[in-house]
Amino acid sequence: MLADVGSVLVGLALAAAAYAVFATLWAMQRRDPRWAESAHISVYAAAGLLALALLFLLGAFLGDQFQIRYVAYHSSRALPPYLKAAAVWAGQEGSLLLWSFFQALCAALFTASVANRSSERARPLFSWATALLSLITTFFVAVTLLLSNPFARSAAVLADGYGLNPLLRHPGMIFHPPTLYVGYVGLMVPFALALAALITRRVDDWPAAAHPWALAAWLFLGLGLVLGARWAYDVLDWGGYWGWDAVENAGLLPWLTAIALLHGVVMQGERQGFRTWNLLLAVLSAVLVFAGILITRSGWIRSVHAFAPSALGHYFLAIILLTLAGSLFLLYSRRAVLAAPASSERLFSRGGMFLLTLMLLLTIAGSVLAGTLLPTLSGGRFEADPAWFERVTGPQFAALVLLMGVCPLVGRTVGALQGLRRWGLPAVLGAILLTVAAALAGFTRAVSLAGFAILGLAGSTTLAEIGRQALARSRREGERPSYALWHLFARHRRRYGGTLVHAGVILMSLGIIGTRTYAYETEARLWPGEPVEVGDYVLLYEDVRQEPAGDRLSTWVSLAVYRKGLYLTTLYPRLDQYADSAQTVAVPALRMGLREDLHVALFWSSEDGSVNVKIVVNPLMNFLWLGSLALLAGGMVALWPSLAAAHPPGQETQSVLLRNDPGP
Amino acid sequence: MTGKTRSIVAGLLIVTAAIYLIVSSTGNAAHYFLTIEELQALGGEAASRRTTVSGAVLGASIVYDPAGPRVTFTIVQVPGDPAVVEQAGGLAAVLRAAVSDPDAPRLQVVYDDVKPDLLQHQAQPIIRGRLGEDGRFYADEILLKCPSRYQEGLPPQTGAP
Repeated sequence: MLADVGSVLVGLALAAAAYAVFATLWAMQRRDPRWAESAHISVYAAAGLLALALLFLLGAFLGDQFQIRYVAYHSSRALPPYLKAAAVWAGQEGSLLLWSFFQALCAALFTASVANRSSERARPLFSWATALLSLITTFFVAVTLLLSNPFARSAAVLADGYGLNPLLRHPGMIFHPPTLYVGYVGLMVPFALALAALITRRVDDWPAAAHPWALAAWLFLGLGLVLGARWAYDVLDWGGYWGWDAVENAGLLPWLTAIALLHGVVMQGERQGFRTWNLLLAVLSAVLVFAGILITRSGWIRSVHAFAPSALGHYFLAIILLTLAGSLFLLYSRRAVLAAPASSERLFSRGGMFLLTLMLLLTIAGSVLAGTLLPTLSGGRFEADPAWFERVTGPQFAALVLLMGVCPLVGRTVGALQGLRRWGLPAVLGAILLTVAAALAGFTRAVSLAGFAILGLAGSTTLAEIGRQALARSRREGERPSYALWHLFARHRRRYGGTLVHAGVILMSLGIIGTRTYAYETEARLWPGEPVEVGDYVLLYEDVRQEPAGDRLSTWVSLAVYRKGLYLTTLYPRLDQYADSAQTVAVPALRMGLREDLHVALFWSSEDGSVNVKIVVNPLMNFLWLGSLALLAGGMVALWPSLAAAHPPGQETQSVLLRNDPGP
Repeated sequence: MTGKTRSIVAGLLIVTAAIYLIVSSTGNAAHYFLTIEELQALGGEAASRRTTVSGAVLGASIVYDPAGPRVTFTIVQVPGDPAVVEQAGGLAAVLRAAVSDPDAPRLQVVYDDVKPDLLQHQAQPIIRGRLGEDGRFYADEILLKCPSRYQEGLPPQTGAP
């Protein structure tokens, strides 16, 4: 019963989305507001029907409806209710339904946001974008219903389900996939607007409308990536946070192009350049989202995380090729509109720096894509391991951070290197200070010192820029400096949000350099009372305990941690054995510190009382998490005014808002 | 040189540098994996450097000593060319055929670590390490591909798009 209703709901959503495409286009053709109204209603209806279908699937999970195949394979009676809810998107079919819902919701939000306030001039742009977004919704719902229906019935009725993979039974895993999906569907709005701009030949209006969506998508993707990294660090036993796996890269790639798009949009707002760049970047971001789906769901790409092989690959390959061919054709046929006004842009100018930034982000994305696809394209004869990715992308990321530091040295206006005199000194001082501090703290390897110097430079120019402006305002307005800083952030949120994001990137880079060049690990087999030495630390194996906890049997080991003879803490890594899946999961224990993290995982516990543990020391790890928080906070600060500006009377107001960055 | 040409030159330099990084690293750090036949044909040369080899695991040969910890097991020749694998009826069929072929080349692997859970009969691990003088392969890293489906194997580290 539930199964049939669910399938019908998804089918109705498919019809609504397809009708929305038709009605939007017809309304444009006939210039009839009644058709437009009908189109809007069907866009909302598709989102509503998919929401209902998701609720039905949720109900099927909570009600242990094992006659539905998807429920049987991802749940069991013993599973706690919150995990039954999370299991809705634990597999291929359910997660596609969730994705389709987000896609439809995104189309509905976009439609609602432009429905009442679009000027006559902007209407064709938004109508085309709505039609394209509904077309994408139609595609996703069709794939869900026809190829991967979560409401399909089991061949036989089961008394109990197979249960949920124990590694997914973690709060991080509940929020991590939906967060990423929101980011992915968010990138469809800039894409639809870009194509709509090409179709309607209005190539300067779309970036302002696309900006808040691109920013929100970037923010959610970033949050998803950080949640995934943190989950890996907390739950997996390897002590790392990023493994350059194909599926991880699938999330990183559109994030990189979204960063490029956000920068390109700023430039187009400031000086009307970068038209072709922005269109290309919006298309590329969408193509990379589709490519990510292909990587994760086709089973063609070698990855330890991918879903089971499925027939979806062909369809997503088709949509990728179609998108690329269609977009490139449109770009080519509209090349006359795209010709930028003659610019006197110099390399050592703000525009030149932005151009280099875009190129670097694209070469990084290209490198990551090459490393992701080559193992498959070469038929498995070639493998790109983490060392490959580090060697290839490391120097490029370093150049990117260097650019970030050099950018404030270059004036906002045309004058080349006019900021050099003002910020040259703090830049050099910052580079020297951080390098010396790092060397004194014991981080003395040449490569990392070069990295620290770049970070010092970028960090000090970023801080100097904020500091100088806060002081200038404080003098001008007679406010306390802290007050002036607060006002600057509140008034020019997009700009200072961006600065905060840059500060976050610098902090994260510190953590990445620390963990990638100075981490060390030991594996040891210990008997009770036996110590093991790791660097400055001594860990003493004290005791082992076993107790049943719900659906699992937990084995705890207590290890007393000493550093240089002083007792620090006691860590309790454990092993969970799950009865229903006969799977064992190691739950590591962590001692966090600003200088370094101590990460201990229990691998094996023998009947004779001996245990195997893996101990990892991750220097500067917490700078990565602090930086992530700063990055996300910066994104939120930057997003805020766009939300507040979502209701001004006309489109024009918003493009003015986008250009009102204050000069230095 | 105008500003525009200078930007184009700078852009080309970046792209060239990125391509150089990819090409040079692909020569250096990338692991090509060898079949057992290829490894044994290399002989002494293989012993001198770290290599990567792959084959089908003989379940009965797996011996695990947690005291070491040390795992030893035998792998059997599997063709490396995916076209050949496809022709022979897919990877599962090739792995099944390999473990029941008494004449196929074999290689004993020694791995001084905890036994990976997925190391089972007919699994196809990717093994990194050195070929010892004694003809055994001393592994320092074993990668196992999840045997069937994601739900039963390893977790998705980032959400599945």
